[in-house]
Amino acid sequence: MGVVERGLLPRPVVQIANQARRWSLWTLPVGTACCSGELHAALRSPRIDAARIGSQMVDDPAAANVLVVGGPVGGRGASLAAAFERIPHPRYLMAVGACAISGGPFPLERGGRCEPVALPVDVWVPGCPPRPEAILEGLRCLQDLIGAEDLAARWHRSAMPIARSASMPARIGSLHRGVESVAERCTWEQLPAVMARIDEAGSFARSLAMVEAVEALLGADVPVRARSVRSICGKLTVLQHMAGWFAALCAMLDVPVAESISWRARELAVDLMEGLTGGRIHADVVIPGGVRSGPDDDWLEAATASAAEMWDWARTIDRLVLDVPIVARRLQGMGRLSAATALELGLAGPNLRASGVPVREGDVVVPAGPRGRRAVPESHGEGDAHARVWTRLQDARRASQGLRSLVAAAPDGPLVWPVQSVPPPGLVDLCVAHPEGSLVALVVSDGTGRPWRVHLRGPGTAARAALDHLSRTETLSPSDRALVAHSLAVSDADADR
Amino acid sequence: MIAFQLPVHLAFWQRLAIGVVVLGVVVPGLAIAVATSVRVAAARARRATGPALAGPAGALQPLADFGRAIQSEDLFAPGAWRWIADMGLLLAIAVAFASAALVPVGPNQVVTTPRGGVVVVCALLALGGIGRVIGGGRLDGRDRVVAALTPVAVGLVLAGSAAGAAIGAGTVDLPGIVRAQVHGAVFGHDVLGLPGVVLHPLSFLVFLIALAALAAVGPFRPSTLGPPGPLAAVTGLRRLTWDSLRWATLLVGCAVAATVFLGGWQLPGSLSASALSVIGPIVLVVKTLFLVACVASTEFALPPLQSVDRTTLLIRWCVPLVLVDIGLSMAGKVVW
Repeated sequence: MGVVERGLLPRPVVQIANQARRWSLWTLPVGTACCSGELHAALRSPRIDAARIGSQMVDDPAAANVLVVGGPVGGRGASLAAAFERIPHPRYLMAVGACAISGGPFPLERGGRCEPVALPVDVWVPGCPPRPEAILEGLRCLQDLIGAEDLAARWHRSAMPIARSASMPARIGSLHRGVESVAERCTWEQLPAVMARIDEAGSFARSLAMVEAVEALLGADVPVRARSVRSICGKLTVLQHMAGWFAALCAMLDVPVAESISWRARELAVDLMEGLTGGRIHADVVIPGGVRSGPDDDWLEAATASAAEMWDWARTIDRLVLDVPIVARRLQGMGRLSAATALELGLAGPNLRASGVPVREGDVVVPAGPRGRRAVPESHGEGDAHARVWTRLQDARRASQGLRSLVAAAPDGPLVWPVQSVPPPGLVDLCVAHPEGSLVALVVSDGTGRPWRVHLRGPGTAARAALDHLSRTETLSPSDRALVAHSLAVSDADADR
Repeated sequence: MIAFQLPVHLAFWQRLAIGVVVLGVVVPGLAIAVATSVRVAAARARRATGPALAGPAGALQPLADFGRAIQSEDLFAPGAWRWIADMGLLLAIAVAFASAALVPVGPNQVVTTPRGGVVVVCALLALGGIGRVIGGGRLDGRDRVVAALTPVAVGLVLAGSAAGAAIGAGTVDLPGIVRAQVHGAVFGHDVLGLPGVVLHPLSFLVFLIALAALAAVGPFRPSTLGPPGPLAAVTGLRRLTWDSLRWATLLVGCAVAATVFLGGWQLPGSLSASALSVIGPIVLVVKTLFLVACVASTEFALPPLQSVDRTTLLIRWCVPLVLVDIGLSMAGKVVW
């Protein structure tokens, strides 16, 4: 009736309305890169517990009143605007992380630039990625803003037409190649840190791939202690990724207790990573010839306790999720991929093993400890979503077991051996472990201070192809499709930005 | 018309004061307490604290959610014909209250008993479905107009499934049907009476299926991918209003089912009328909530039971079953 728009509401009514909106922020998170994990941890994890301030995470724009965007927008400007338009008035927008705020450090291939959010932003939360506590603080800032705002002005602002991003057609791998081209303009020392910033799951693996490539070019070896630290970081990456993955799965399956303990397990892994390297998601710890920092006694003690707790977590997940008939039946038979199809699509890691492909020890590089390579966990090989979940749980179990043994046998000694800063001309291609399979890296040096060519390919592209294949061959409801996509761990990092 | 009769005599102002306190303080207070407790319990299950800062101990969180919801959406769909939408809203609300008023909650506690009895209540429930469709959505195509007429067919099935019990009881009055169930005896034992569900189990099932189909009628497409949380279905004022009316239909329909098939306010054994005046409403509410839980949990637990499948089920299987039940009831009435 125009009462709100014309500012005819009495001030006390406006204040009551503001307080209602202030204490009921229903958020729709859109995370496109490494901010995604921290974003969901901030909005769902019981440690942060955003519900204390009345915030609730939803997955339907029509139910939300705050859109939280983390990560580079890239070619998604139009779909982001469409999601924002579906949020009912009055609506708010929070931009999280450097990429959403300023476009981030990554230009796109062929001269384009990754755009920041082209929508009216209410709160910016800087960081790369920001900690969950910072994201919660952003919500508190938004609460303060709402508590003092003029409802009529907000209504007019919300009703303004949204400026469409002038845009960027989405191209497979465009930002990915953009990152590689940035890496080709960096020095050798900057290379690992830049390549780490593509996704959350394989951040450590990406920087490790770059460092191992440089070491291979130099013909350098690393101390035993540094090798142990790298293995520990590999295990922590697997645990961090798998726990976050299971937390999201349990949220989709509506098993809140299992979701809660999965967030707890993720936080344990992230805390250990931060204690060891100083970084939560992007652990900039590996350098040519060794590592920057190593564990002290306090860290080793904490890691022993945490590893035991994470082992218990994996056992509990087995009991709460996979042993529950109604949950198991929800996953069984859905998104089935035969061994032949999995091989044809180029799947790797748990997705490949879940299809029953007998992966031999030498085929996939597993994070190696001081005692050498370990056996790849088995799978029951049905190739459906249940098999993929089961296989990842075995991976998580083995990672916690491996972490415990690595911590128990942590060697002493130097962390780094001096190496040359510039590798000689040459080409190296290698494969390193990734939580979702393996990363293939190709680095070419022309003997100058910068790499001449850098290529890095992870398992995400094949997972995306598998999802497309299943969408064509199976009739999937929206919820089934979301579950299948999650079971394949489709990562945007290697596919489409 | 039979007025409400309380077991103790109260002056008008005393009854008015009690009504105001119950409706204005006790009911909202209980609703807020229950909603907050559910959220806090859900949070504790996740080892989290839950709502804590909106008011003392987070007690005002449901009010904040409600306040946010009613600010979030317009009541009517964008592009709806406003006068039709207004009529639909008025129809749905009026019918919800009217049908609730026709259900007897005790031996002497009923607002009015229309001549059509249970048939009138079923017709009103179907009319509410029509009101929800034309008020909450947009009649901008043939499919939507046809969808608006779906409740008529479902209402016929609903009334038909109650007809067997009414024939057996020899009356269509809801209080009469309850009394007929009380006076029935199984093999001479009057411990349980003879509730309609014993003689008409298939009709009881058909009634609940038709009721679920009728409660699903609304302006929104049912979705299997719902957002999480106890208030997740509510996206704003529009959804809040129309979904509340759907739940009202389910509630009243289950109260009718409890009355026709489960003995209404009656309990086993011989209780005095004054005792039943106090206990009867509670008994009926418990039976009704049990049926609501059955229907709602089936709805949530079996996503394949969506509206299209249910309509097919009603037409292919339920209508013949209802006709058979009516025939058997008529035959039984003639024989016994």
